Amino acid sequence: MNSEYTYDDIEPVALNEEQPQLCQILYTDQFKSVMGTLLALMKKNEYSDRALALTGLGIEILPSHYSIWIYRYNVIREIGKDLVDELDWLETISLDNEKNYQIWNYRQLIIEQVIGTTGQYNYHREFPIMAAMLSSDAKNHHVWTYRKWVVSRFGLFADEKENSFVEAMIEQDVRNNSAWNHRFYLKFGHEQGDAATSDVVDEELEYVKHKITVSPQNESSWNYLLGICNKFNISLQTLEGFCKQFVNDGTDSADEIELIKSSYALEVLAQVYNDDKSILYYDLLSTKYDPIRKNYWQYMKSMLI
Amino acid sequence: MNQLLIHKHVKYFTLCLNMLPSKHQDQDNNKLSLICFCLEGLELLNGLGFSDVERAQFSDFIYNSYYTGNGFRAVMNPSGVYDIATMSSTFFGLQSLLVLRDTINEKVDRHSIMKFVQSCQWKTGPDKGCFAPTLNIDGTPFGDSDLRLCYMAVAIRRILKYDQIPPQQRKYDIDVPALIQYVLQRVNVSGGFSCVQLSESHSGFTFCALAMLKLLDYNLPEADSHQTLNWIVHRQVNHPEVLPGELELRHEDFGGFNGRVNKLSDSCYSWWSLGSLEILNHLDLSNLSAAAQFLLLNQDHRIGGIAKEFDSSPDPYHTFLSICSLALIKDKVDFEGNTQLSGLDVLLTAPTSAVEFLDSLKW
Repeated sequence: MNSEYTYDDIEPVALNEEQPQLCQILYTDQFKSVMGTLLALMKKNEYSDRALALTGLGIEILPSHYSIWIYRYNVIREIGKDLVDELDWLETISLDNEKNYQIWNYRQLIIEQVIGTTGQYNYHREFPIMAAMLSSDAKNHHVWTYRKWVVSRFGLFADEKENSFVEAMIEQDVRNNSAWNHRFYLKFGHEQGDAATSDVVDEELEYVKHKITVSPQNESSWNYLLGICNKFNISLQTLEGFCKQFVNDGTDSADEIELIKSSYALEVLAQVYNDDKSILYYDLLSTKYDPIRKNYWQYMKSMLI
Repeated sequence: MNQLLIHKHVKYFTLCLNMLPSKHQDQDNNKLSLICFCLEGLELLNGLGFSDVERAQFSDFIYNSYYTGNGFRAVMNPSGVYDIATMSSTFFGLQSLLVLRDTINEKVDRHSIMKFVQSCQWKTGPDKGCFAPTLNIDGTPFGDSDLRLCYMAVAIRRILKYDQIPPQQRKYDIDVPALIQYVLQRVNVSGGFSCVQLSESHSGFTFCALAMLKLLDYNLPEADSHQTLNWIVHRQVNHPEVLPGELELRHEDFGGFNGRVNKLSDSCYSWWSLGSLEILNHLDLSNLSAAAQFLLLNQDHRIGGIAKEFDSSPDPYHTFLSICSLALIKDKVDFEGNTQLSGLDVLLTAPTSAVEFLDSLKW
């Protein structure tokens, strides 16, 4: 319990004592004391500093329980708690709860409150906590999702720092799909994204092709390339020359030997050709370069016209 | 490994259903989901050998979390005005009662549950059409809202057979067109679905989207559904030796599925992927024997249960979803024990027998 406050006047609710039970959890004494007292305070509808302190402990031990978050949110509004302090507190618990959904949603809620009351928010304070989280897990889904909210809420699509950040993340690990997804979001995700200039499209095509050349068997970069083609209706035929550098099927001249560097290049070429070469490539995928998806490649072969 | 350790898993679920060590206390608010995984898992393993008296006791226990005028609460103890239902507790509570063959049609007020579900749907804003996990005390939606919640909302509506009564008799129905619009905005160019618009494609969200659309009788356009098929098929993990090395994959990861591109295998994603393929009518396009091998390798030979990956500890969630996968493919792959598994209803992720019981109920 929090030593700053006293809860002596509160009779903790006894947790789940009826019998028989299902999935009975053997609670620790601390759990029973914190959750029991918290339930009692909620029942009383008490909005106070000590209630706030106890919600902090409650969230530490039961972080995905919405009622505590709702109660805390109502407490801070009732007692007029400083919202920036609330963000500080959130940061202290984030690192211990990497897979928690609630923290980031709550953070958005608090920031919207700050904007609602003061008309502004210094979004720069969001970056250190996100950096700390991503240094622990560079693919943290919650943090990347939250980051998209920050980008769109504060209009950072073209922000130089944000663009350098995502470049550095891809540089650090070219297979970090979250980073590639974020890049796609920055370049093409804003509301005017469909009107992205052809310059940006060309730059991105060049960028991703370079990354594929460095690491040809990388699903993330291939998806980025195909994603651009799909979004901007660029025909796959335009990728033929690029893909062929990863595919020597050994049929061009008698003395050449088969050398394939990327199953993804084979996939694209099979779609580009739609003829006997496609049959050959689907068979190569089935037998040698991506045999786990053999049934799928045979299905694709059967769909050729 | 070619044997499903049925008796061990029955023991494992029975043990968990009885008692869980304190390390699970951070799941206290998800207890109805744990109960549901154990009960449904046992039913799939044909190990639900409880007497009528025991079943009635279990039902009573689950009904402790239910209160008329709302849904099911997340923790067993009431908390005054903060005693608010959650979408997931309601979903798992109802599913568990069906496994126990409880006549929910006589005991729950489906209109008031649908009133709760309807209140959780966002009426405006960026999440319009989507569902929140719960409500604040003023009755407004609260919390992270995404396709998981949409799936649960639609599944609850199906369990309550609200979609089968004439629209004018539905006192509190959800806004289906707004929901479908929300879902369709979350499909990426790659074909996978994501939690917020243009976020990273994820096979869990993809399953939720596909299952929900199917429950609503909405068909994706052919081109889109092929794109989704292509994305899901690529989730099965493998690395041919003839290609340059990439991720740090272990041989034990092969045949499993990842949830996102360039991530490692995890047994829960075997389910979200195989279930998605089944909904798309193309289960056979993945390698089902490799899929089974991966899951069987993750079994705990000592205490039973199936872990998320090789060499880690089992939990009820991964065990249940692994058994769902195995039940789904049992007639297409040979492994010891396959004929002892019961059938599965993919759209509700529940034993077929429980859904047949539901169908027999008259409201």
